[in-house]
Amino acid sequence: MCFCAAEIAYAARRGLFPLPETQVGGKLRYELLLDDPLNSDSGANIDSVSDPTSKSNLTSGNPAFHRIQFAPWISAKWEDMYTLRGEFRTWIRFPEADNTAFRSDVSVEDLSLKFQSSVFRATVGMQKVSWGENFGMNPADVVNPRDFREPKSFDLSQAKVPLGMANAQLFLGDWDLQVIYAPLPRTLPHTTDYSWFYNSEGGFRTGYRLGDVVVQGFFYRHWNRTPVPALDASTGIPQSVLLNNLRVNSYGLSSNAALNDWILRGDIVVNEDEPVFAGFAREPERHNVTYVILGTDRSFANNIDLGLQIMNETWDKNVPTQPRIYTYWAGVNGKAKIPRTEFDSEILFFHGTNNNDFWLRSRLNWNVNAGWKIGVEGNLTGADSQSSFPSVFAKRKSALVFAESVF
Amino acid sequence: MKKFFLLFGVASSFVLFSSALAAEVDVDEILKKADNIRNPAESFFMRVEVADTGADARSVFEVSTGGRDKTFIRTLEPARDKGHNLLMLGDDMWAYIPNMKRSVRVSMNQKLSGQSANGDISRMRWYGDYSAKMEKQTDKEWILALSASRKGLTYDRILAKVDKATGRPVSAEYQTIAGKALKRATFGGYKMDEGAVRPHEILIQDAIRSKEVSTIRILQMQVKNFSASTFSQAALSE
Repeated sequence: MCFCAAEIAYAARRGLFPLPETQVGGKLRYELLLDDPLNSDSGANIDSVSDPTSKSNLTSGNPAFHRIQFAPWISAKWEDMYTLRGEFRTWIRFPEADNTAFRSDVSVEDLSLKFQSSVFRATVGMQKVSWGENFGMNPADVVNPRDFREPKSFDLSQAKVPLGMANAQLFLGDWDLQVIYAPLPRTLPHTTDYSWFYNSEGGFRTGYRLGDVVVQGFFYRHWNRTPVPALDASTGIPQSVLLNNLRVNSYGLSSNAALNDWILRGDIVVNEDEPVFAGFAREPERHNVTYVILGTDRSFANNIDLGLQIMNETWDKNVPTQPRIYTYWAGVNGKAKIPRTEFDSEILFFHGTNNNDFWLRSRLNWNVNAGWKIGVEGNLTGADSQSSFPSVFAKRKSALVFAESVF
Repeated sequence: MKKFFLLFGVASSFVLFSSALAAEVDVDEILKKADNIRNPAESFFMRVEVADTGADARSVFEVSTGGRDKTFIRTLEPARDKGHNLLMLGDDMWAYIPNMKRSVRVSMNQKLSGQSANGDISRMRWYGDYSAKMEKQTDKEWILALSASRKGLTYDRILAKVDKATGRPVSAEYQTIAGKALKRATFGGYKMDEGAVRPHEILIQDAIRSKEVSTIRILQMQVKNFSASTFSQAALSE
């Protein structure tokens, strides 16, 4: 029996089975990056001398390179009940620092099937999930690991590594519940050491909307996501490593509320047993680390958005010789559409209040037409505290020029 | 004395006539009728185009309205903004940022495109949101002064003109709380759709820079019921 295309189309026309409502789209993007991207791919940099378990050095690449990305997607929807979605991304970057002609990557960003009823929604497959309310550093966003080959783009979706997971959501009036089970964690891209029950990650988030206030509580058990400073075994020079063999429990509260024209946001996150320092040839130091982030922002009628944020990181005193450590930052974020033009701009500035950490990011985009956008972005970072901030950012300057077509 | 009685009589007649007129005109009924002309049912779907003059800007949105206080706006065009979806629950609004794959809460007065605010297409009802009183009337029109009944609405005050013969909204001036004009809207393009003659074109003009005009065109309108999960933050990513 042969089911050729004509027979399928005929059967669909007769209503034997419904054809889906299909959409396709994608993005083509060219980037010139003046930065030193971190190389964490292929497992080539695993340092098995200083730590016999799993420790990946995040080494620097070439300080200037080109990258071309292509990311198509397709979505097929049946009767508002089932949706099959696929999103793929491939990139090639060159030149490389280690005499390699180029590096490239092909990844499945989303390949999932969603079922939706009146109060229930379940999505199964490769996907990305976002938690948390605040911008910049967002410790509540723990479900997907980060791809550290994406320089300074921690708050961008492309820096998230998609995970295969079952994601179920229940909506009952003002109350909702989300349960996630990810049997195949991928702390770094290309990790293939899967052991379903031992390795799995998972947790839940539940929220309630009480008038103008939304409060959510969450718990997620996962492998360590955050790089830590460590001494290089051979040179003794501090560098960033990702200890991806350590279990961390994250739990906390997120909330948002409206106060007149101001939006208030807050995240409190506790990372239990988070590694914070990996000394040479010894076990990593682990603390209960608490993050408190409070933010507010407002949209003004003249297309200007203004945001303010304060952030605290506290290391619990579980090492006798180590005092409790507090680190504070304050930040401001502004966005503006330049009147009567197709330009929009953004500036973000974080600075430590009891340390000299800082992060300045500025962006300028030109929306050339309905599909094309050209932009520049500059980042300037510095760090001197012992917190998680310097392990990711260190003292660096970077610039990005891009041209992007969305279709 | 005669003059006094004459004057008293005229004044009394005027008061009585005015009272009778006021009793005759129920402003809430006018508002409800104007709302019912703009909205075909409690729950409905619209495909809307917003075009801004002067710029090569055209946006297309799908608007799903569920009851009085739930709206989901899906951005279809321009391509670069595709996925910038909006969810409105009561007076609270969330926007989806595709680059970050996350939804964030935003204020209602955030601009949608050109002169049109989110509230211009997500909340097309006046009754319940605004308290009305008769400002004045002409032979053809009622002019109603509407005041926001609570904070968080797109506009604090509206001066709405309604056609007496048909009950159709004619125009509206959106004002600050102090009564300063922000924008002017004109309702036109009336045609038969979903059982009644309804406006399909709304011109929104900046009150100061009169050349800055956005045109909201309703391309499709359909009475439709939606599931509860349609109006959730999770749906914003679709």
